[in-house]
Amino acid sequence: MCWLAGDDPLKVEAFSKMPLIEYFLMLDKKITEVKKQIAKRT
Amino acid sequence: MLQEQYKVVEAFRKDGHTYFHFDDQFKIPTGRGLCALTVYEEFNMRCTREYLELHVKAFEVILNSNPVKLTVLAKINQNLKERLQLALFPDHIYKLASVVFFDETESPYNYDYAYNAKKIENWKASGGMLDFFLKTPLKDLIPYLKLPKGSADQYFQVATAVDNLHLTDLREVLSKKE
Repeated sequence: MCWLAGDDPLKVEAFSKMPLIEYFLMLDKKITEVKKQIAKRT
Repeated sequence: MLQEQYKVVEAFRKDGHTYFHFDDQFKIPTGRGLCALTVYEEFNMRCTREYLELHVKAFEVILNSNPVKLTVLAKINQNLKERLQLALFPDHIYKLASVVFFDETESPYNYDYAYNAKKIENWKASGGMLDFFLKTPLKDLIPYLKLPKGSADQYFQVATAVDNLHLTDLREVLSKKE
């Protein structure tokens, strides 16, 4: 959660209050972005 | 103050506390939901994190002994194998119940591990809670909580005895180290 929130305590708190399903959708989106960035570098 | 998107309902009252749960168990806040997933993982492994930590320590103690006691190693490995074949341990039910049911002093958004360890101890001391939890919405979350009618008590007694035997084996190995 901290990774997704960029270690921002306010964001961590907001994430902990959002529905779990929404959190997983955000996490999935972020992982897809990171994967694309890694693919570009290699 | 609870966000409007969540609906919390009263579940039961026990020892002066009122316990609540989310109306829709599949729409819960991330903080509490991630804890539920951690407990679910323990369910799948049939081992609590504490048990696995003891197992790893004991394994290392045996590997570092001279000569390596293969029979003891085989025994604790057999114990682990046995656990995977069991349905579930009472501790798992208590842990899951502690995530699903929160009292009026707890935040519905998060899970306080220290507070909930005490909550579980109180439930255990009260007695009769395992049977009660099997009749709550908890059973909808974990299909194998549906034990044959009338056999739950017997099953939990056996599971607890097996758990204690396994723990005794691990503690015996670790006590010889010290």
